Parts: sequence; C-alpha cells; structure tokens
Amino acid sequence: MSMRLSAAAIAIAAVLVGPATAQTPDYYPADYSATIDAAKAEGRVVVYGTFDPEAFAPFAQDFQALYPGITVDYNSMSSSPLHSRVLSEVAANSATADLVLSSAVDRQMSLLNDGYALEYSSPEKAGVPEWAVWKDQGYSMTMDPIVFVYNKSELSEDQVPKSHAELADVIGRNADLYNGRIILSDIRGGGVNAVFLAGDVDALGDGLWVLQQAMKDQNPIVSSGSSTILESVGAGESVFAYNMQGGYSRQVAGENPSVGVIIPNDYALAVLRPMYISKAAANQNAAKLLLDYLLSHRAQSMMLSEGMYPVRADVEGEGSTGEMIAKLGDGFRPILMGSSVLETLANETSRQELIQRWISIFGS
Amino acid sequence: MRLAFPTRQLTIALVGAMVVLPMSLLVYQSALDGAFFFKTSSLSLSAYAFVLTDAAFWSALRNSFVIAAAMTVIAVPLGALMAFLVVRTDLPFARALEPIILIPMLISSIVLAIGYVVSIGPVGFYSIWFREAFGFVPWNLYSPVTLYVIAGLVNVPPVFLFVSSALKNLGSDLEEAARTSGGGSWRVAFDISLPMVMPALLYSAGLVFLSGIGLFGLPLVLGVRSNFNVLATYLHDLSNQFGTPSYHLMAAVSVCFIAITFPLVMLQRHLLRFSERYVSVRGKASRQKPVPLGAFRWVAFGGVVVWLFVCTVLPISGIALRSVVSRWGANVELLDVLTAIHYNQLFSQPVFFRAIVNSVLIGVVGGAAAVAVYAALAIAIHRRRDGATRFVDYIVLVPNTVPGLVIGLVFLWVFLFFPPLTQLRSTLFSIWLAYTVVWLAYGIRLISSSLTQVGPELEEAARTLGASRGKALRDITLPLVRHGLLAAWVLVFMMFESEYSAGVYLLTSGTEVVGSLLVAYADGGSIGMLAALSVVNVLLVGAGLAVALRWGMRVHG
Repeated sequence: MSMRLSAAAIAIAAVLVGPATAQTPDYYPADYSATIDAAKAEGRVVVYGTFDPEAFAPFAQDFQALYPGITVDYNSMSSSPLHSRVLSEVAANSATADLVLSSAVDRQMSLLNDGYALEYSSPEKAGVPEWAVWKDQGYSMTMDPIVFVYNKSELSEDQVPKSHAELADVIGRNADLYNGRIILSDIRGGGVNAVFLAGDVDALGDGLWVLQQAMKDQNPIVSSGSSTILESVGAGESVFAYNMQGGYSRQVAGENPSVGVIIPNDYALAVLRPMYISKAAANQNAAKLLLDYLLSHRAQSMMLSEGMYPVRADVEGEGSTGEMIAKLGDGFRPILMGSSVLETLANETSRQELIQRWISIFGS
Repeated sequence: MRLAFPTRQLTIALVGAMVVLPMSLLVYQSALDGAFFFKTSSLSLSAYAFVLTDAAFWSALRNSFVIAAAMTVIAVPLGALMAFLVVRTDLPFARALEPIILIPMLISSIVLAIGYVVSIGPVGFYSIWFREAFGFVPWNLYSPVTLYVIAGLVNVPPVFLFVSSALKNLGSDLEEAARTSGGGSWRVAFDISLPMVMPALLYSAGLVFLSGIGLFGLPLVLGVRSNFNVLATYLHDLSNQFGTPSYHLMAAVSVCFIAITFPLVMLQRHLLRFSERYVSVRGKASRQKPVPLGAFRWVAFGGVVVWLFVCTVLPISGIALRSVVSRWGANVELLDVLTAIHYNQLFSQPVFFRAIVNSVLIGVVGGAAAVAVYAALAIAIHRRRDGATRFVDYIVLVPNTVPGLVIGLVFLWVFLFFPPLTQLRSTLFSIWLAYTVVWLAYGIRLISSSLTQVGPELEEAARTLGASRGKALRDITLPLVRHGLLAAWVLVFMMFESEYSAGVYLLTSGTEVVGSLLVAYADGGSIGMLAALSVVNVLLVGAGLAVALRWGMRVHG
C-alpha cells in the first residue's frame, strides 16, 4: 500500500473537506483577510524541511489550491545542514527560509531558545494541545511516538516485549533468538537519539540502565540512520530495534508485512516536530498562512494517510494523539518543548554525562 | 615585441584564490571557540586541544591510515595491471571492457554499501543461495578485512583511468626495442612500460590514499558491527554530539586532514623530480602494437572478470534487486515480492526528472567547463619549476581532502559572506564552482601526466618555425594529449554527476541533483526508491560513458 497521496486522493479530500477557496474557519480573527492579502502580495513562502520532497508535496499542493497565487518553495534537507544553513544565512543577512520544519527537536529548541523565531499567535492554537506550542513561537505539526520494531517472521508475538518493564525479561528468556540481532541507534550519530535517551531517563530513572545492559548482554549492533536499521530488521538481518520513530516504522511496516511495530504499553515517548516562522522571513504573512494551514483540521487529517501522526486532538484515527492518550493515559509522554528533558540536553554538562554513560555501555 | 598577456599568472592567481579563500576561512574557524559569524566567538586553540586529546580521534586516525594503506596497496598494482592488460596487450574484448571497468565510479559509496548488504550480507541473496547449496557461507561482509578488500577493489577504476590514459600515449618503440633485445612480455611490462607511467601511478596512488583517509560511506554501513571508527565518521559524530553545531571542532579535524596532504605531496614531488625520464611522445612517429599474451590471454581475462564480478556485478545486482522487490532477506520468496512500485513512485515525481537533468547538465556542461579550467592550470604549470608551480602542487589536493561534510559548509560560507559572490549563491554556478574546486586535483593530474609525456622538442620545433607559445600549445601539444583531455572530461563528468557534499548547502528547490535525492531517500527510509534511482542513474551515466569512450576511440584512430 502506497503511503503517498495521489493527485486523485487530494482532489477527493479537497471536495470532502471543503471548497478550495480561502474560506477561513469562523474562529479566525476578523482581520485575517488582511494577512491573506499581504501574503498574496508576497507571492511565495520558502520552507526548509526535513521531510523528503514528495512527503510534503500533498500539503504544498493543497495549500496552493486554497491560496492560489502563493507558491510553496519547499527545500528538503537533512537536519544538520538545515540547522547550519539557517544559522549562517541569518548571520549573513541573506535570503533564508520563511518557515522552518525540522524533526530534530533539540536543534529546533536551540534555535527557538536563541530567538530565531517570530512570535505569532496562531488562530489554530486552540485546536492544538497546549504542549505542542512553545511561547507562541514554536508549533508542532506532528508528533512521533517512539516504538519498538521487530521482524514478525523471526519472532512470534510472545517472544517480543510489549513494554519497557518486560523488555529485559523477554530478551533474557529468548537469548538465542536475540543474540547478535538487536540493533540500536548510535547516540553519537544523531541528535534526536539523545532526545529519546533523555526521555527514557526521565521516565525510568536509573532503571533505564538495567534495560540497556540487558540489551548490551545480547551483543547488539550499533548502527546509525533509521533507514539502515529498519532495512536490517525488515530483511531479518536483525530481529529487534529499540526506540525507533513511529512514522518511519509505520511506513516501512506498510510496505513490508514482516515488520511489526509496537507502541510500548507502559509508556511511550513521543517526539514533536516543531516548526517556526523565521524572524528574518522575507514572506512573513505567507509563512503565517502556511503555519496556520499545517495546524488546521484539514491538513492534520491528511497526515494520517501520509503515515504521519497529527498533533490535533480532534483528528480521529489510528495513531492520532487522541487515540494515544486514550490508550496510554499518563504513559503518553510527548517530549515537550521547553521540558526538563530538553533542558538536560541543552545543558552541555548534563548532555555529555548522558552520552558518556551510554558510550560506557555500548561504545568501544 | 608584444607584451605577453599574463595568462599564466592570472590563471594561477585565480585558481589559487578559488582554493585559498575557502581554506583560509576553514583555518580561521578552527582557531576560534565558536562559529566565526557569532560576535561572541574569539580566538582560541580550544578546538585543537579538544580534538588532539580525544582518544576517539586518535583511534579514528589510526583506522583511517590502515584503511588508506590497504586500499592503496590493493588498488594501485591491480589498477596498473588492468590498465596494462587492457591498453597494451591482446586481452580479449579489451575495448568493451574499458568502459565497464569504470562503472564502480558511477556508484556513490552508500549505494555501493547497500548493494553489498543486499547481495552478500548475512541475509543477502547470494549468501542465502550459497548456504542452501553448500550449508555454510565463507564470507562475512561486516568484518574489517572485508571492508579493506572491498574498499581497495572498488578504487581500482581511478587508478585504471590514470594509468591507461598514460599508457595510450606511449609509443611502442621503446617496448619493441626491449623485445627485440630478448625481453619477454612481462619483463617488458615491468621494466619499460610501468616505469614510463610512474607519474600516473604516483598521482593515482596519492589520490587513492587520500580518499582512503576520508572514506565515509563504506565504513558507515559496513563497519558498523566492528564499531569501526574512521576520521569521517568521527567528524560526523562530532557534528551531532553537541546541541549547537561545533564548527570550530569540525574545522580543527579538517585542518588535520589537510596537514596530511603536505607530506604526501612532498613525497610525490621528490619521487617525480626527474620527470624528463617519463617523456615518451617524441619527434619520431611510432605506432602502438599490442603485446601478445599467448596462453595467458584467457587467464588474464578471467582475472578481470573476477574483479568485475566482485566490484560491479555483486553490488549492482544487489541494488537492482532491491529496486524491484517490496522486501528481501530471510524467509522471503523472491518471486513473490517482485514489484514495480519503487519505479512508479520515482517516475511520478517531478523532482526526479529535475535531479537527473541537473546532474547530467552539471556533469556534461559543467564538466567540460571544469576541464577547460584544469587544462589551463595544467598548462600554466607545465614544464616550470618555479615557486608558482610548487604552490599549485600543494594546494590542488587540499579541497578534495577536506571531508565532504565540511567542504560544503565552507562553500556556503564563501557564497554567503564574500561580497562579490553572494548574488550567485542560488545559481548552478555556485554548485559548479564548488565541484570544480573539489575535483581540482583529479582533473589537473590527469591532464598534467599526459602533458609530461610530450617531448619538449616537439613544441620547440614549432617555436623554431615561428609559432607563438600559444600556437605551439594549441596546434602541437594539445592534440597530442587529447586522450588525457578526454579521460579527464569522462572522469570529471562521473565525479560531478554523483557529487553531493560539496554543493549540498547551496542547493535550492530547482537545483536538486541526484546525490541530494539519494540522501533524501536514505534519510526518509525509502530504500526501495533509493535503489531505483541508483539503477536509473547508473544506466544513464553508463550509457553516456560508453558513448563518450567510443567517440574518443573514433577520434584516436
């Protein structure tokens, strides 16, 4: 099943959701039309994002159908180049992104903390959980639950841990199946993995290191890049991956029936994808329109079929925020912007401590 | 008497600026304690202190040296041997083999690595077949030794390209003289032909060694289980370990890379100080006669085929298979999982067509423009033994040595902060410039080694008859080195077409290239589409390559 929306599906969605005109919901402020006019005068909005081009294309197309005359110029890049480009371009007073959409929540927080974002109170704020908004500057478009991924043809249901609590036991009991075939993300290779680690410490405290040691005892492979890891589990080279991003995992599981995804039932971290409007944006009004659009019910409903997890509570469906909260209650632990988890990472000393502790177990 | 236009000085100055500008920014950045564009940063050696006292850095450096040495030791003799076999002997199907041997250069290292994982990884399809047939699998893709061997073998093509180009310019007279005096084929090869191509050998050995130091894709994917840390992965980790980008640390590591090139160049210059010995295109006409291999013909051919199998068939069949299946590996019936979905998805995206067109444009047109720049510089330093030449010798290798992660960043900064260039940042020119600077060493060396083989008496003869220096160059020397020029263009085309890091920060929507699309798919988990794109890319570029070489053959004779 393809996770990509075809043009036909967009058209159908547009018809079902509403006419393709700039009819804004009635809870938008009265002077919103002034923003729309100003945006049309600007004519384009430049986006830097970590989604690959055709994952974002349906949203760009839908937005352009809603607001003809405003072109979405979407630039896909990895989170590290994205961060560097934003920093460098702003420092040089050169052309830069209007809207910045990155899945590297720690990097986004660093930019937000350093004042790169425009303060803007979005009319869609009310429909979005309050933990998804940071000081009217950072808004999360999606959230990603952090899951376990396993190979269904190598491991049966009862040979796979369904929670963090039983992980050490299940792996220990089935050591012959897990030995040498657990695959983990290298903390040194990507900032977002450090976020998951910090989130786990926040949830489990020192109990986390027992869990990590249990995995270490089975000689895990430490790899970098979620696609390599998912490829490895999908092919049966490895049988179990810990702390993967739910969105990618679901996408791969959709294409490969051997891949199983488990949202842990004792608690599940969720990472948010903060976006912000740059203070240096040349097309501020168009950026505001796009940000509001991406938070709107219309766009957020499209996300489910794109394999993304919408952040709005009023969007229903498998994988939605509402469903996660219903299933897990307090166990649903989105890593909030400005939370203590991210504070730990922002502080150089505590960040290094955490990483070094992980390296002491898994590095060599 | 006309005042000569200072072309030589201008060329050297211009190219010098193209290299020195980004590199000085890099060095300056390494001597700060933060990003150079932040007012809060100040001069400090803390970056060097951190890096040079980091145990992980030293182990990475050690591993990188070992890999580089292993690669050089494997690739150079093999590449030279294959060049000799293909160009100077009666090896069967030599003409057809020539473009095929270059194929591994068309494939980016991450794609190569993925191809090997799918074909000979623990659950790769060759592994599964072998296990079913024989009950065991004698190879382990993830062992360090395999990494060295594969890295060495896939670096044979650049050596082959350099040496074969030099060999094509050799007349047979010296070899025939040796054979007339009783030397057997192998004696002739080792004592006459090989020494004559010493410049090509040494230059390509240097390039292979340096690319070994900076190796990234193969260790990233294949070195995973042995926790194999090399300089490039160390740098990659460094860039992600701290919350804010630590440019000063990355710059310090890059300066260490650069520091390695200087002794290397010194060594090369020392070994080549008697370059008169390598002149072989003399005033007398000579024809190339293939050396007969006798009974050894088919053994040699078999050897080449084995190399081709390991370096071309294995990874490409892996990637090709990955592009037509929905899943692979253990417990998978191949016939059940065949699908065209990855290609369908690929072809339905406008960005795919844009990327192919842009990459080919940059490779063909940009490549030709780059070769013109390289040729101008090669000529400017030709037959001169002055300070300017020494300067060029030392700087050309530097941009290629700086790891991809960093060089792209540096070029972004040059186009952001250096006023004359800021307007050009979002054009294809900026990307072309970055690529041209990064591949300077390769392009110039290829042309230089061809130029060195042309005897000075030919130009002098023309000058005696009244030709100006320029005319002698255009009408005498350049035609004689057309093989070198064509080989340089082919090489540059391949490198430009698959390049990514140098221009990554300069890309905008509209100037995407194949390399950036590959990375986007790799990041986004669409390995199937990555495979499909790689297959299309290899086919397209391979076809172009074959056409170019045949055209080159026709030009030659």
